[in-house]
Amino acid sequence: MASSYNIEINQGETYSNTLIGSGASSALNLVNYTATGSIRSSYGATGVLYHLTGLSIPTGTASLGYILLDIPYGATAGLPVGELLYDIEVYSGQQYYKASKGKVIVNPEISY
Amino acid sequence: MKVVDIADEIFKDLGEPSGLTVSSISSSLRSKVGDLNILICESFAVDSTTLEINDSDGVNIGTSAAAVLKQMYFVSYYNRRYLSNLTTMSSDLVLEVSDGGKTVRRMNRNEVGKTILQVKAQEEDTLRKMVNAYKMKDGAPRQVVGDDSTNYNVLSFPLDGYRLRRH
Repeated sequence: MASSYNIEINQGETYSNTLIGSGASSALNLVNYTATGSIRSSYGATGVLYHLTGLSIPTGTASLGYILLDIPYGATAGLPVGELLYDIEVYSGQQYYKASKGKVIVNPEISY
Repeated sequence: MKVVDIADEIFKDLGEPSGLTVSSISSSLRSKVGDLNILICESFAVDSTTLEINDSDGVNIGTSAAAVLKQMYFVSYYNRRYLSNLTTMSSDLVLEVSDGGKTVRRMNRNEVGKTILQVKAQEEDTLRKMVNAYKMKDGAPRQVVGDDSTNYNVLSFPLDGYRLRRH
């Protein structure tokens, strides 16, 4: 079961965060895992608003369950204002796990 | 109009309440497009990429339709306020407790609920008027089919040579 975590982003701002995957009693060991994820407007939306290409699991902290999420300012500028949805999966081979899910709250910007 | 601008206007019109954000209002507005179409007989849709509310030509929703959408939001806002008040009806909110003078002041949630219902009814009435006005002003017939007129063979003849018959 993925943990729920809401991300708040300002349009046009670089977003960086570190998520820590944790199991029942200890941190998830994400060695040899890759992270992927996307943002959609709703569960049934056919189009993906943004693929979370800035997701990475650094080798140094993979055993501690660290997942880094970076969204560049150019991408956040293109996200529509609203409450969107995201989830992040980690996978190794054919094994996929939902690491995190929640809302992406996009706040509007004035300066372009 | 952009969805975010409609949401911002709503946010300000409601007095910038702490439980609301422009983002949450924007998402809520998008979910009401179907209702809006039914009410004012239009065919707006949410663009899958920009999430803007566009008409069938891909043009952003106009100010008149946006005004109806705003009004729809107000109705739903007061409906939510009413429902949230209902769920906490069992416990009255204590506003003031004085010890020596023995004063306990409570807020009667039942009365609050009635007031919210009144405001909601007013907003619904305004919405009804706006929908009617929109249909009168901006509503255009989708198509005009058929011919209601009757064709007559118009005979033209000179009146010269005819006399009106008098009794």
